[in-house]
Amino acid sequence: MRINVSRIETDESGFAAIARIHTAIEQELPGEVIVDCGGLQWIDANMCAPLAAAIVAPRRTIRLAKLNPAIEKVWRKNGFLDSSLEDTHGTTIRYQQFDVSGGPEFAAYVERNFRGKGLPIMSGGLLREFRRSIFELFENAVAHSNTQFGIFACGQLFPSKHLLHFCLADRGIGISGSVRRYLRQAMHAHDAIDWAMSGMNTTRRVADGVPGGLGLKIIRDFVSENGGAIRVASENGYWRLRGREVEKGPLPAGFPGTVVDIEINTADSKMYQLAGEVDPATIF
Amino acid sequence: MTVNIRLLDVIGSPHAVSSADGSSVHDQIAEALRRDEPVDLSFAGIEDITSAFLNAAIGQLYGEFNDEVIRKNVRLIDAEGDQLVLLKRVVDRAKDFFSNPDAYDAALSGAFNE
Repeated sequence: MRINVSRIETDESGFAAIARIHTAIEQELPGEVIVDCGGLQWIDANMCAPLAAAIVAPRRTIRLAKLNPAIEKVWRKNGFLDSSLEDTHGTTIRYQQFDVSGGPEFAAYVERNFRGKGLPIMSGGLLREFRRSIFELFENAVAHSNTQFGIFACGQLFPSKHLLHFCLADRGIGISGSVRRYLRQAMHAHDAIDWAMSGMNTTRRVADGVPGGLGLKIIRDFVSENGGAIRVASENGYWRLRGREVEKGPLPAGFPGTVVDIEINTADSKMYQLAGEVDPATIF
Repeated sequence: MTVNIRLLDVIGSPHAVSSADGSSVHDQIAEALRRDEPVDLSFAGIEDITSAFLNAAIGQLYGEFNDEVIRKNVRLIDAEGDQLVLLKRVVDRAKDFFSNPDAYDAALSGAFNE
């Protein structure tokens, strides 16, 4: 099969392109599947995470062929192909796959990639809130995706643009699958994402014993304050928060699971503190 | 006798982020509360903390114990400002979650029936 797009960027069309690659692979017979990447001239490095999630295929071995040299170079720096090239600029956030029980491994990954070395230009408060956000995202995927394929992470720092992208993808039941199960009613995938990303909604029930729903709200507040963006593709839905503005709609092709990309303005020098001060004596 | 629970020791790392670790902490706190023993919960050395962890560790307590029991017996030690703010949000949410679940579910469903 052949990839029929020349660019895969972190946007609606990029997620749709990856979804189409998944569909094409699924239609191939079991065995080795050669993916002709000859036409692909650019892919945002953070999109390795959803690409990896999309090309995992039981009973098929995927081989990426005719790679553009520039893409291959990045993928040998960030670990997507291998780690044979050194990241001399310190701009890659490594690609890694995690098992759903891989919380400790993910913590070690965050420690390696997001402590000083990769992000020298972020203030301490910004870095702390960013780390909290990606831990919340990982836990969300662990709790809700029901994936058997693991969770895929990758990021990229763009120093000249003062941007950091970090992507987490899973091959789970999708947000709409999870929300539909909970609300027991049909809805568009983009509305389900909006429901999950809005305020304090949660698919947890009291019988589950553990409250939920706060994590995505905290991420949303942080990204809005930062002026960054969150992009979510899940099944046939796409949702984007830019600053405080939300756009949502159908995704032209269905992503097999959920991918969330967080874009952070690394030049943001605001002092980050969750709103308000609390007297410990009044918490309970 | 006061039960001392140090998050760093229970979790074994400075990352208080997973629900699974939160549940381990919850089980220790709940065991002490069932015996009506006070708990000193130390946040010393914790670098990362999430709502997922706190929901499991502390929010979950509100499903079994009333506010008064928790308020009387659980004392927070060495928690930083942003950790306290997050915990307050988790606790407020847990109280809401466990006190009025039917109304909460109905309100959520209503959002898509408009």
